[in-house]
Amino acid sequence: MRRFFTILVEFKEYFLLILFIILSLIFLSLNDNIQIKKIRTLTIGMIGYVQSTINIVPNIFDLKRENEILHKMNVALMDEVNKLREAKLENIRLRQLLKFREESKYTFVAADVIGKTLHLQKNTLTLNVGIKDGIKVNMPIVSPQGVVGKIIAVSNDYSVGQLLYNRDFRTSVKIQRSRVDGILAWDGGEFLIIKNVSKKQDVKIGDIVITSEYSNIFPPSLKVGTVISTSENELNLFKNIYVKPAVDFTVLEEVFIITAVPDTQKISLENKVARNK
Amino acid sequence: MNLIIKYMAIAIVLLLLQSTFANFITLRGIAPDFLLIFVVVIALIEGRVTSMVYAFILGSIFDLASGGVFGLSSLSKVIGAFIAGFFFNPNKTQLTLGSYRFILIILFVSVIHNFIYFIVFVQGTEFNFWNTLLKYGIATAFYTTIVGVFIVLYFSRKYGVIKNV
Repeated sequence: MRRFFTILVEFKEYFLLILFIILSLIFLSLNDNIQIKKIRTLTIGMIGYVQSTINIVPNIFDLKRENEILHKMNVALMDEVNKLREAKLENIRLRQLLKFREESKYTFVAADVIGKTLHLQKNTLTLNVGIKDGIKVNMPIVSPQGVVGKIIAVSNDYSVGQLLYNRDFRTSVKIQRSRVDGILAWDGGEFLIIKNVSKKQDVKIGDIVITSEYSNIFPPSLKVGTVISTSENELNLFKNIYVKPAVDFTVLEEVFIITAVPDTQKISLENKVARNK
Repeated sequence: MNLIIKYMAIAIVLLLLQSTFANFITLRGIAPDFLLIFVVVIALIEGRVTSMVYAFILGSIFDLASGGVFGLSSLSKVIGAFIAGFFFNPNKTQLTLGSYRFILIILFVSVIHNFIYFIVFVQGTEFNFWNTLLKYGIATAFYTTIVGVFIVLYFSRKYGVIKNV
């Protein structure tokens, strides 16, 4: 026995190592033990509490990498958001166009605006429809908001439209409320203008301007714009009426072309009478 | 007795550091092993027996606290403490702790410790032992060794070893 203790003391480190290894192996075999699980849950809970209190300190080494990942993710998400926003806006526009088309009595050809000029004296827009689609010169171009212009040139696949903001554009219009007639044009200013309307005529700011029956190109009663102001000259019998177009040309992306051709019989008769005068 | 209380206090602080603070200085999932550094320091100051006792207790508590495999840290740390005990020399403690020798000891013990840890850890899993050892074991050993440099600096200032070596 004494000899055993002598050996034990002499080799205590090795005995201790073996003891701890055996204990560790027992622990390893007890991993699924319910008591061990409960002790573990308790310990993790305590450590978790300490951890949560110091969680405000960031991982200084991972911050840069995390920042880069978030930056890339942000760019990707921004791109996604922009696409979704575009899709939503397109959806709204197409719904408006569809509604306009269903409610209208005219036959239309839908077209995308593939080019436009807004800062020249003769502003135009280019559309992705042409002769193949049944488009002809002088056909009216409209949008759900109102009159856009008219076709002035056509090729097989494309056509060019003359906008209301074009020095060469003229059309007969009338004030919807008071039925006052006039010729709408553009003199290069901010708004469209109806010139030479008698001072006595009843025109008020806010009145809706529509196409009249006298027009050889536009069907009657299409909205053109709203009276924004009037100007009178004391030395003159007439007044000018300034009209803000119903269509916002800067955001115009889709339009309709009304496939109604002018009534040639009516036009030729009017021309004949005019010549006889 | 005072020394035991002092070691216990340090052990508790390191246990908390290992369970909480180590997460904040991880590099791609690799964290330094503060407990192993402590075990090696104790082995070099107090010898193998004391170090193995601390290794077993700290390893077991850490396994419980970290949610790891219970008994695995205690097993690997006890063996680590036993190996570190080979470098115990009461006459050269200050010299060992305050010089590059400590760094080499930490690296050596850490590699052995992680070798044993991952041998058991990969059992029953689809992890490849050598891949895991190289990816995590060796990386952890080097990270632990880097932290060990600060221990060397501390002891070298305390004992003035750098001037004497």
